[in-house]
Formats: sequence, structure tokens, C-alpha cells
Amino acid sequence: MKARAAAGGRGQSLQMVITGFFMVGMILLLLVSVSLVTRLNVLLEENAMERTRQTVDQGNASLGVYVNTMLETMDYFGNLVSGASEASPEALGTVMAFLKSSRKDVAAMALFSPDGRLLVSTAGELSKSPREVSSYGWFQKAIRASTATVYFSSPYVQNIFAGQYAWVITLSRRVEYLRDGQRETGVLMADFNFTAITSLCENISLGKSGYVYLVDTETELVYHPQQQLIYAGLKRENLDAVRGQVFGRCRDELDGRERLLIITTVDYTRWRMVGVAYLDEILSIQPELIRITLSVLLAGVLLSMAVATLSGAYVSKPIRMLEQVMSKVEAGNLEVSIQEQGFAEIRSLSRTFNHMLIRIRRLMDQIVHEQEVKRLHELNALQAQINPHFLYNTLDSIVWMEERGRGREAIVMVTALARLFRISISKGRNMISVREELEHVRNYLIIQQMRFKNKFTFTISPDPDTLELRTIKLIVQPIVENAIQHGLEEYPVDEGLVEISSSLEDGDLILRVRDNGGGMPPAQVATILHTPAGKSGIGVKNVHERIQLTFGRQYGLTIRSALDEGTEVLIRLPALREAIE
Amino acid sequence: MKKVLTLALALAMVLSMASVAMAADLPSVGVTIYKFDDTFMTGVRIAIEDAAKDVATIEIADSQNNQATQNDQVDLFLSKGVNALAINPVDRTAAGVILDKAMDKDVPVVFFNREPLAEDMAKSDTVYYVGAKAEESGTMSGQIIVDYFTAHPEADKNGDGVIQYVMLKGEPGHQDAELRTEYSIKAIEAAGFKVEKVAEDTAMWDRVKGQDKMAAFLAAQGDKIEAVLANNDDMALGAIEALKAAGYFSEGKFMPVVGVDATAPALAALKEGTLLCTVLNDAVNQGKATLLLAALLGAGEEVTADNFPYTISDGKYVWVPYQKVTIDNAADFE
Repeated sequence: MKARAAAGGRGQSLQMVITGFFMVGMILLLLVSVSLVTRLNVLLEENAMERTRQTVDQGNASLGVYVNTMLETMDYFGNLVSGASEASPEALGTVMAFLKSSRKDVAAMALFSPDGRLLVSTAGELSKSPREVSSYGWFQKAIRASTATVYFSSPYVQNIFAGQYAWVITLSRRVEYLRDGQRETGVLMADFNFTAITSLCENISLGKSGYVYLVDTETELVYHPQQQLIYAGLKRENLDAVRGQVFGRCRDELDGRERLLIITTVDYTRWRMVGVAYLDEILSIQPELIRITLSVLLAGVLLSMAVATLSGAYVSKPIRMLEQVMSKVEAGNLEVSIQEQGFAEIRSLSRTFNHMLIRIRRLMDQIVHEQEVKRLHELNALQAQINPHFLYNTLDSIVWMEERGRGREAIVMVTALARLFRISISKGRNMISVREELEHVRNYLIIQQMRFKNKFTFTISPDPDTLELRTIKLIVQPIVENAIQHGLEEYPVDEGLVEISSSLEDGDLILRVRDNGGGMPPAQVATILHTPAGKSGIGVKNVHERIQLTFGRQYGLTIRSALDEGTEVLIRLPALREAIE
Repeated sequence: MKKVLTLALALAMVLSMASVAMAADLPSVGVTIYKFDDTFMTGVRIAIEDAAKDVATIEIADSQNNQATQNDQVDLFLSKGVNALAINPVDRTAAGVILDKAMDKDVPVVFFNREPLAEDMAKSDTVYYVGAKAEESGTMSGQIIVDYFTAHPEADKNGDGVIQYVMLKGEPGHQDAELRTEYSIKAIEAAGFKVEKVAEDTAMWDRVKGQDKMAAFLAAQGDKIEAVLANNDDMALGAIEALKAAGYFSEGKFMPVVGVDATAPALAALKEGTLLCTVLNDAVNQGKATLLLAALLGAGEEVTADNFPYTISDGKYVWVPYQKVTIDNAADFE
């Protein structure tokens, strides 16, 4: 989180960018899908409506063909009547009977005089008076219009002929014919069984529950598949929509279902055919299409989001880790390394970075080591130098003894000095045995004791097991020198004592130097090993440094001191049987 | 540079708006023709197009002899918001509903060439009919036959004093077909001739069908036929083809054939001497009257004798008169 926040501060995080790209892609996909579905929907709807329209048109065309055959029958008889030079009732009756028998759908044909008297018929005598007949709509319309016009009635039960009650439509027209050389006018009527039209309409299939019905000029029902139920008030039909639309295409709603209405005119009849299709049926594929598209889309979106997030994380996680490690390095920690993971580029980057780190560490170690070695050599060289002051004083003491005739003492001092030097040089070796080291200190103490006129005493009590162990040379002498100079000389006590011992503790070699001098304050104890304090302090510090440079940090000096009680210096060294260089 | 461009753009916009405004000043008229293939209606259509120049913006649709198609076209015109409709109905009984629909949108309608039923015409004050009185053409056809038989008594081949004729009818139930048929015979009878119908059949206004039917008549009745009456020129020309095939119009063998419409091929046949006579169904004046009337109504102007040079009878009928066309005056109609 911290790393991401830091990255965010400098710009967009990689994962955000990748996710963002995916999101933009998804939004585009979404837009495309939505517009596609919308368009497809419109097309489907158009298509369904067009199909419905075609079905209705086709049905209407069949009906038109049928209506035309009715007209032709009317025309045929009309022409026959008007063209004949003499139209006797008998001749006309024969033709009429022939015409009727040629068509199963003709219920009756008849020719009337303008005042409604029956001239010829195929259905026997009238049960109505001429006056009544001439008052019927089909009669009135036909007599008033020109011969060219054929009238279609709505279906009804024809009852003008005795004993006949057929469900028919009546076609009527005016005809002119010659009778006894006189041109006469008459009304021709033909009743057609309505079942022919009914079955034509029933055959028009508009989906599962769609249907067609016919209306007349007043938009009253001519035919409806459920006409009886409608007349009985058990069903409704939305004729207002048809009245409003007149013809063409519209939608309405009946009993809670949305419907498509296709209204078209039926040829010659002045009727209109209304095709009713239920939208949920003709568009049944629509909701399914939308559902499928939406679910596919949703799945796609979810999948893409997941992929975007995961791939973003996959790409950016190794980079973030790399960055974290780098910031640790920036903070100075070189002891880290990066796990090589993620993309080839990231792996390569990590590997290179690791190599760099290793190389830096190696260089750093090398520099440290070189510095240590250099320092050790310096210190060793420094240690090996004989303090000229000491040499001068010693030689001065020897001369002084000779002058006083204390030859024996002089001999002891010279001998001690010679041994001191021999061990100091030790054929150039850096490491000597504890025995030799203690011998060196003894000789030094002998000289100092003589010089300071037995102002102090000393004891050297080595553990015999330690005598043959190896130590770097000339480490005890500077401490002893320090003890004498600062412990005993500056704070003279009655019985000055320097105790030197060696022992093995926890497998380490311990050399101990203790004096009973003035001691040091704690502050001085704490700093004496680390900072050059006073000219002779350098000696103690140098010893400590040499030991640590040679053997490691766990070795070196430990100083315990109490004012007026004395100082104890512990030198801890590894218990080595063989010298190391 | 930028300023010049802006100025030019503004100018272009103003100009285009002005031109739109100019076009919008003309009333828009939606025209449907029952069938573009029909020769006579093609003449009417061209006349409408010519008359529309600087009078109205028109759109003409081909109803392809299908009333359902025409209904759609009317619907489309009305939804486009035309100022007036000029309708040549496919099915004249459908004129009623077309009128209903137009009245619903307060769009005036001029029907032409196919006369709606009188009761439909009575529905509205803004409905007109432009056409010819089919009776008149029938009467003229009959008169021509009368003139011919008066001038050529030998045309009554069997000398029985009765004119034996065949009739080629147009579409059954078509106003013009029925009336031309009826009135041509009435005219002949009115002149004192007796007639006998040898045969009659419908050839659906069509030349090829006319030829077929005539060939059938000739095969059945042969020399009995003394005259051929056709409801239009196309069928008459078809009949002439059949007659030619039977040896007529050569070596002094003649048959009087009358048509209606005075189409260009008919005029050519007149000159050739095969067609006896035709009756001009005045396509130019029908088209012109239709368009002028529709444009005036569409513009909401009152129709007066000053702006409309045709007689309006019964408040809504414009009858364009027929004219007899013989070899003598054929040149006038080319």
C-alpha cells in the first residue's frame, strides 16, 4: 500500500493504467453491444411486422380473388341479360339455375323488377312482399347506382325466400335487358354463402392466437372469428383503433396484451380486413435475444474485469516488489536481494539488480578488509617501535648504575633490556607464545622496577595450560606501562602492585593485568578504548584495535576500574595453538 | 482567412434556407397512379409532372395495381405531411377509406380517372373527382359505328339490318368498362340500328389479351362479325393484330374497329387505316386539371373560375370531355 501510494504520487500506477485500458475496452464493447441489440431489436420488430403484413396481404389477396369470382358471376349474368335480344323469364331462369349449380357457394340468385317484383329466381317464391323487397338496402343501392356498380352487403340471414334461412352476403347490381323490344331495368341479386369467406379468413394464420376480421365502411363487424361471443357481449373487439387508423399499421392493447393491427382494404367490397397479431407472439424471440445478449455481455464484462485486475496485479506486483527492495537499498541496506519472478523483463531487471548489489557488497567488503589490513600493519609497525624515551631512560639508568659502582644491578638491567628486545623483534614474527609474551613483560617490569626503585611489586602467575598458546606480541606491555604510569606513578600508593595472570575461560585465552593504583572514573573507562585520550592512551587503544582487527570483534580489552581501588584490564584472545598470519 | 470562410459559410446557409423557403412556398402534392405500366395513365402522369412546374412539389408513386400498396403510399404521404393528395385508386371502392384517412388529417383529396362511389364522394367537402364521363366515350364510340354503317351500308355484310358486333371489355367492375360498353350500344340503338352481340369478353385493358380474345372470336364466329368495339385502344390494337392475322386490312377486306384513349400507337394505326376511329380520353387535361386542383386545395386557396379553367359540376366533379379522333383530325392529337 505504501509503495502504491508513493507510486501514485508520481503518476498513475501501472495496474491502474492496465485496468483503465480494459475498462475503456469494456465500455466500448458495452456501447457496441447495446447499439447492436437496439438495432437488432428494431430490425426484428420491423421484420415481424412486415411478415405479419405480408400474411395479411396474402390472405387479403386470396379474398380479393374470391370476391372477384363473385363479381365475375354477377357480370356474366348481367352481360348475358343485357346482351340478349330477348330475355324471357324462362331463358333467364335456365341460365340462372345453371350459374347457381356451377358454384357451390351461391345460395340463391334472383332478378327483380324496379318495383320489387320477383322476375326469376333459383330459390322459389318470395316470402316477402315486393314492397318489402324494394325497401332493402341492397335493392335501394343497386337501383340508384349505375350498372357498373356491384353492391356488397354485410352478412345476414336471408329470409326473403320461403323456408330458407341462409347466412349469406348479398351482391346486387342494376341490369338492363330487352323485353318485348323494350329496354327494361332490373335488379340482379345473388346470395353467397358466407362460409366461403369465413374459411378464407380462418386460414390466415397470425401467430398462435392472432386472427383476422372484416369490417364494413361504418367499421361494423362483417366477420369475426368470435362474432357470436362478441354479439353476446362475452368478448370485446377494439374497433375504435380501427376507426382511428382507417388503414395501415398501428398498435393497440386489449385485455392487457399489446397487439399489432394491420388494416387493409378488401378489393371491390368496401370492406376492410384487420389482421390482429399479438406482439408477445410475433416478437417471442426478442426477450430471449436480449436475455442471451445481456448474459453473454455480463459474463464478458466480469471476466474482463477479473482478467484486467489479475493481469494488472501480475504485471505490477513484481515491479512494486522491486521498487520496495530498491528503496531499502536506497536507505542503506545492502544485505537484501530480490526474488526473481514475473515477466522476463522484470526477471532480467531483478537479476541485474541482484548482481549489482552483490558486486557493491563485495567491493564494500574488499574496501573494509583492505582498510583493516592497512590499519593492522600500521599498528603492528607502531607497536614494534621501541619507545625511544624508554630506551633513553633505561640506558641512562644503566650508566647511572655503573657510575655508582652498582655493576651487578647494571648487568641485570642490561640483560633484561636485551631479552626485551629479542622478544620484541622475535625474528619479525607477529605472533609469539604466551610464555614469551609474559617473559617480555617480566623483563619490562624488571627494568621499570629498578628504575622506580622498587616502588611497586609485581606478580606474574600464568596458568600452565596457557603458556604455549599463541598471542599477538607486545600487547600486555602497553597495558602494564599504562598501569605503572597512570595507576601507580600519578597516584602513588604505599604498596604498589601489578598482578599479571593468564587463564582459559570459556575456551578463550584471558590475560589479566591488575593494579591497585588510583583507578579511573567510569566516563574515562567508557571512552578509553574508542577515543584517543591522552598520549599514552593510544597504546591501550592500539592494543584493543590490533586484537579486534586480527581476531574479530568478540575479542579485545575489557576494563574495570574503580577510583582509589585500582584498574583491571582483561585481554581476551582466542586460544590458538598455532600462529596465524 | 477564417473570417472569409465564416462569411462564406453564413452566406451559403442563408442561400440554402432561402431556397428551402422558396420550395416550401409551393404546396406539396402526393400522387399515386394505379399502375405506371398503363399507357393512358402514363400520359396523365406526364401531364401532371408538366403541370407541376412552379405550381407544386409533387411526388408520384406507382401502386402496382395493388390497393394494399396504394394504402401504404397514402399512409406515407400523410405521415410526410403533404398538403394535398391526388389519388388514382386501384380499387375505386377503397376510395372511401382513403378519404377517411385524409379527412382525419385535414388533407384535401383529388381522385382522378377512377370514380369513387357517390356515397364516398359525399363524405367530405374537400374531395374532388377529375375524370371523363365514361358514358360519353361509350356514346361517341357508338356514334362512330353509326356514322360508318350509315356511310357504308355494305358493311352490314349479311344485309339483315342488324349490326353483329363483338365487345372487348376492360377490367370487370371497372366503371369505364361497364359504362363504355353500355352506352356504346345504347348510342347505336338510339340511331335506329339493331344490334346483335356476337361475343363479349374481358381483355383487362391489355393489348396481348385483346389479341388473344379477338383471335378466339374469329375462330368461333368468323365472318359473322361486322364490327369490333373495344373499351380502350390497347385492346383495339390487339384486335387489329388478330384481324390482320386473319387476312383483314388487305385486298379490300375491312373491319370497323373502335377504341378509346387516342394513344400514340392508336394514332399511328388510324393513319395506317386499320383503326376506324378512337375517342380521345384527354390525358393532358385530366392530368393538368388534377394537379391544378390539388395544388390549389393544398395551398388552401379558393377554387374559382379565375384560377381554375375547368368547369366544376355538383361542387366536386371535373368532367374532362372526350373527343372523337378520326384519320381527318389525327394530326391534331400527336
